[in-house]
Amino acid sequence: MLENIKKSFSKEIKGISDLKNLEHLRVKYLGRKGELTQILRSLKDLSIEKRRQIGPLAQKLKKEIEEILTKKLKNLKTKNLELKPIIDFTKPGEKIKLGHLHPLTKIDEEIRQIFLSMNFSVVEGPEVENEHYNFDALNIPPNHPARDMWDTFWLKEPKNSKFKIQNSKLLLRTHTSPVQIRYMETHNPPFQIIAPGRCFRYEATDASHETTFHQVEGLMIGKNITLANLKGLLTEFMKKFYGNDVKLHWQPSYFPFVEPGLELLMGCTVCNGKGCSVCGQTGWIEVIPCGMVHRNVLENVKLDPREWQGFAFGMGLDRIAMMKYKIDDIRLFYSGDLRFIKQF
Amino acid sequence: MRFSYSLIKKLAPAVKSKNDLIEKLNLYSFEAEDSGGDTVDISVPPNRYSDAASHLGIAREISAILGKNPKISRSKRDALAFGGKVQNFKVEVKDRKLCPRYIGQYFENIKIKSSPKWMQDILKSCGLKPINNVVDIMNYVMLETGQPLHAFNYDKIDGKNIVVRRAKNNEKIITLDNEEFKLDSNILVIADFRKPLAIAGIKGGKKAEVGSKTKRIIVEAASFDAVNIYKSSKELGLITDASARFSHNISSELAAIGINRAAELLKEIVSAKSGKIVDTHSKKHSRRVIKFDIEKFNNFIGVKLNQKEIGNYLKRLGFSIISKSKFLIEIPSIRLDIETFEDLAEEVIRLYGYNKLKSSPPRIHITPSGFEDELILKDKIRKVLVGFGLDEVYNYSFISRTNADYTQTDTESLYKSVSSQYGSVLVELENPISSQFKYLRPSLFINLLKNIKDNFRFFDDIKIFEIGKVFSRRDANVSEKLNLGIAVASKNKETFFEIKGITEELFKRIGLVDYFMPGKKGILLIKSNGKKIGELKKAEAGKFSVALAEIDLEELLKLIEGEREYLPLSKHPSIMRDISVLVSRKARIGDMIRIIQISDFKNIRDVDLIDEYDFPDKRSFTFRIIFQAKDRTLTDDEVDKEMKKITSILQSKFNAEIR
Repeated sequence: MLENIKKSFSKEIKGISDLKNLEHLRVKYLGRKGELTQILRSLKDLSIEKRRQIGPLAQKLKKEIEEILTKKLKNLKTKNLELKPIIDFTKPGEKIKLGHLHPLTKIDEEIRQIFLSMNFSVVEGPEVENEHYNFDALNIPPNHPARDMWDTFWLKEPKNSKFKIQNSKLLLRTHTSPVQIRYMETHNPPFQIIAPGRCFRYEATDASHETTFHQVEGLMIGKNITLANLKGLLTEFMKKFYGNDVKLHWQPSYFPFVEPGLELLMGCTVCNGKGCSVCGQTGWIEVIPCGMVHRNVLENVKLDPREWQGFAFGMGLDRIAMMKYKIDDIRLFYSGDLRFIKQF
Repeated sequence: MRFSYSLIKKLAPAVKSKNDLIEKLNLYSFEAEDSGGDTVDISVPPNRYSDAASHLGIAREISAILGKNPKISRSKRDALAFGGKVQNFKVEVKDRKLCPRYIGQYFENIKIKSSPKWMQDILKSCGLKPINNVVDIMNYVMLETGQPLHAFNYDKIDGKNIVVRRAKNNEKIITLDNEEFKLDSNILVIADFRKPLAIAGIKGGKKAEVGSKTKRIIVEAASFDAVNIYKSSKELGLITDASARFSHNISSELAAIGINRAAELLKEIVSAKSGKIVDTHSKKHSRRVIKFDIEKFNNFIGVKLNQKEIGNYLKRLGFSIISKSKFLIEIPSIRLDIETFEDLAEEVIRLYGYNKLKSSPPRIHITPSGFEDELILKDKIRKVLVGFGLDEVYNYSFISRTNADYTQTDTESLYKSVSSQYGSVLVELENPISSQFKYLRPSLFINLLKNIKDNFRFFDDIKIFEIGKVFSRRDANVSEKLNLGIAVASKNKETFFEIKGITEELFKRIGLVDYFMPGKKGILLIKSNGKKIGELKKAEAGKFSVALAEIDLEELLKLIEGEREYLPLSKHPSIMRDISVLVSRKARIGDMIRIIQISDFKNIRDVDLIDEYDFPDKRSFTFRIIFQAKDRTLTDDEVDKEMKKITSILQSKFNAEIR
């Protein structure tokens, strides 16, 4: 009898794969009307001898079955647990879909913030300029080779000559310096401004030359603004932008709208000053042409050079971005290639 | 400009080495670099051609830097020759303005040979080709002194009369390298009584060329009007060593220095005998004197130098102090660049050393600093759009009208329609870099479409924007406006409503409240305050979806109302009702929503479209309407009443079947 129960239980338990059927099985053998329960219950009707014979065996079987059931229950529970979703922290994070600013925008913003923190205001000017603002007012005389330093895109005059009364020929500005003139014409010093913007040069494009580029112009006019101040301000800017380790070097240079005229160079970050193709083997890169605003420029905007003096500087954003991000082709900035943009 | 290191070393013996020269020049004077061999490339700035575009000039610079004297002996004018009795040629300058000084000197006993090796070496270092002893001396003297010279074959000068005059219109000349040029009256020539012998200051002619059989010559050392030479050389497309120098305005003093040095070398090397010399401007230059204000200097530069130090730097550079008490400085006549006090200040401080100058922070006049409004708006827009997942692009400001490059694309027709729409007002460049970049962009659409097309090669979904200037002709002027362009494109899904949503949410974020979007022939206009401020449209792009938006930021800026006021949170619950309608295919969703919003219904807080379905002949829409009162809890009865009214107006205006 007990042997039969043991056999059939062993057989049935193997086919059990869920908790519900396991419970059914338990009830079938150990429930109130279960097969084994009934045998145990019937013991009292048996003779003492028989009782002694069967009793312990039945109790043993009960224990065995209980043990097997518990084990199985544990087994099934663990199995079910595995089916539940578990959180694996090592799974890659979800892709957050934010857009990307253009690298020149990022550089521009950074520069503006630094100058804003030094009490400079930020202004802008037009991209289509005339000869007066782009050249004449900046002490770059017509028909002088100095003007050839700026290769210029000129605008065609309209065909119907009815409108041809143009005093000053239109062009695409070759630098942001005209903003100096426009600002000084309309504001009373002292002041300090920067003027970022798009500029154009008539030149064939390659990896390091573009028809289109961006500059930030700077101008500071006051009664006691000195060349030493120019050095102080730009040194501070360069440290804030490139870090305190930046190496700086000053050289004489010539720009018609400043006197004295200087060029600020920085130690090449690509080769650490050892000399490479980026810095033309010199270890230095020209970054900020600058100088004291020329007396003629002040006079052109009706400021008295005996009363006012100050400095101006300009820097090429593209060059700065190329140094900062180690970009080797300037044309990428204007390609609209999202494989490039999405990296910033 | 190329220089010979060995010649500089000869004139300035204190120079230690080529590297030393280059390093010192870079630090104190001009940009310089090693070009290999004996050659040094020095960028002489345009204002220093008169005194420094020569080996003598560089020798003076480097000697001043080193604080040593250069080894410069000035050749004397040949006294005998000056009083020469033989009146064998004449010089007649017809236009004194264009030729302020003309020196001509006669030489005979010429034997044409090749020049000495040392001279040839120097010419080669400077990129010039040795020709013969006379021509080489002319070129060598130019390199040494900065004065261009020219030698004419005396026997080929008809009438032995040199005339400096404007060319006649259509007059022709064949130059030394056998090129024919047609001249006009803007161009100055050196002529005999028949024909031009040279284009003044630019290039010699074939007629009086110095050749192997030449026995007698006239050497010319002249000064010409810089602007005229500059213009003429541009007009003729002929830029020579001489024209480059004359274009920069060089001192007429150089002419005398040049002719004397040439005479010296002709005697020494060619054993020529000198004859008559003619100088149309022999009077002395007026002296130029500038008062040096030491206090002003120290306040200008931000340094403390005394008179002795300053005087020392100036003397090293060849300036003389003519009054110590008033500190009056006399400017050498060849220093045409020194016109003002600041010019002198630069000389002192650059020799002192820019790197030595101690920097100091400026004392800043504190004013509220900030960004111009347009910049603030641009920054805000960028932030919002990047938050929406758009990438920022920069495109060229140029377009071509025909767009031949893109004709194969799906976006071609829109591209064309955009271009033709603006065709009449396009701003054209006089000198485009290529036909592809002939016009200034009238809209940001065109280049954004190109970006979409290019990027479809790598991406299925593209969301980009650009903020930039667009241009159009306004009479004689050019109107320049700041625009925002957005493009949303997908290979898999409709993008128009995404761009519309982006635009609406952008307006909300930057504070544009009062606007509407009327539809008009395939585009959706954005209007505010009666003005068009932008538009939305779809591009024809085959099976892909490309949507575009362009907004005028200057107009937008005027309309922004700033911060929105806080609306108190209602303490009373809202009631939500949905209504489904079946309407003809002509009915417009926008019209239906608007009529619910603007008609006289009470307590409507919001109307939205939550479901739409197309049948072959009808369309079905479900609108969700939210009712809420500020002051009380609405009852179902009240809302039912309003819903009845809404139902009837949709029925009457749109023939709607309520489902």
